[in-house]
Amino acid sequence: MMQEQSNKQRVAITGIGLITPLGNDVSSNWNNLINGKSGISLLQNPELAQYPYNIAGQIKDEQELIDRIVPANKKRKTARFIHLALVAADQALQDAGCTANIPERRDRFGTCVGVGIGGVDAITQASLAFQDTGARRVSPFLIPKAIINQAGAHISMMHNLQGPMSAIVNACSSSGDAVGFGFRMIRDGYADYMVAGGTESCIMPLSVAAFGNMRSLALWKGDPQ
Amino acid sequence: MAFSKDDTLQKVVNIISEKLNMPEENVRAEASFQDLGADSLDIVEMIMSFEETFGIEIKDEDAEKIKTVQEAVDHIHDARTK
Repeated sequence: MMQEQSNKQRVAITGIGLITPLGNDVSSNWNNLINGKSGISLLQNPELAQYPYNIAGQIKDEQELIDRIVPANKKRKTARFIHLALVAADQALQDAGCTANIPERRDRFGTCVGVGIGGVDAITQASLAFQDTGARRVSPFLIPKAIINQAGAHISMMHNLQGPMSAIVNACSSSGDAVGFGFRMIRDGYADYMVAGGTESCIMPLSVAAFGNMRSLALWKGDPQ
Repeated sequence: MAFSKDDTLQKVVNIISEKLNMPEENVRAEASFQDLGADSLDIVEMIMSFEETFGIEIKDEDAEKIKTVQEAVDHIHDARTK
C-alpha cells in the first residue's frame, strides 16, 4: 500500500482561466464572487422573447476576446462552446507561464474538456438548412464544428499539445469530472501537464424549450441584479 | 447565355478568399488549393459553394480532379456555357 502511494505523482493547479456569466477573466470572477454579485441576467436573445423565461447565466461582451484568440477561419469552423474553451484555455496557459516558457515534452502535455451538450446551435441550424436544401448542401464542417471532443482538440491543436486528449460528457458535472480526470492523468503518470476544464453554450431556442419542458428553468420574473 | 471566363474567375477567387480567409490577390489562378492552405474539408466546402453560386452540379469524380484555382475556373466555365 505504501509502495503504491509513493508511485503517485503530486498534482498542482498552476494556472486558471475563466470566461463565465460572472466575468471574462479570473480576477473579475473572483471579485464579483466575493462581493456577492450574481452572474444571472435578463435574457437577451430576441429569439427567446416569447418564452416564459426571463433570466439566464449569460456570458457578456465576449466577442472581442474571442476575436483576439480565435483566428477567423477557425472561428467559422467551430461552434461557440469551442471559442469559449479556447479563450479560457489561453488565459490558463498564460497564467501558468506555459505560453512564454513552453515545456519541452509536448507529448506529456494533454487536454481534457468536459461539455454537456456541445454544438446544439450548429446542429440545429444545419438541420433547418437540410430541410430546405437537402443532403448535398450539408456542410462538411458540421461534425467537427459540433462534437464535444473538439473543444479539447482545438486547445491541443492551437497550443501544439501532443499528449493525451479526452472529453467528458456527464451532464452538469462534466467540467468537474474533467478536472478530476486531468488530476488522475498526472497523478497516475500518463501525463505531466493537463489543460482540464469545461465549456458550454446552449442558450438557444431548441435547448431552452427542452430544458424548460423538463421544468428545469426558473420562471422567476424581474431583474436578477 | 454567355458567361465570360473572367467573371467566373472573379467569382471563384472571391469564394476561395472568403472560405480561406485570405486577400483576393493571394488567390492566384495557378495556385493549388493545397498551396493556399486548404484541407480536404475546405475543398469539399468550396466545391459546394461553386455549385450553389453557379447553379451547377460538380460530380464527386470530377471534383477530385480539380486541384488548382484555374482547373476549377475551367470546369465551372465549361459547365456554365454548356
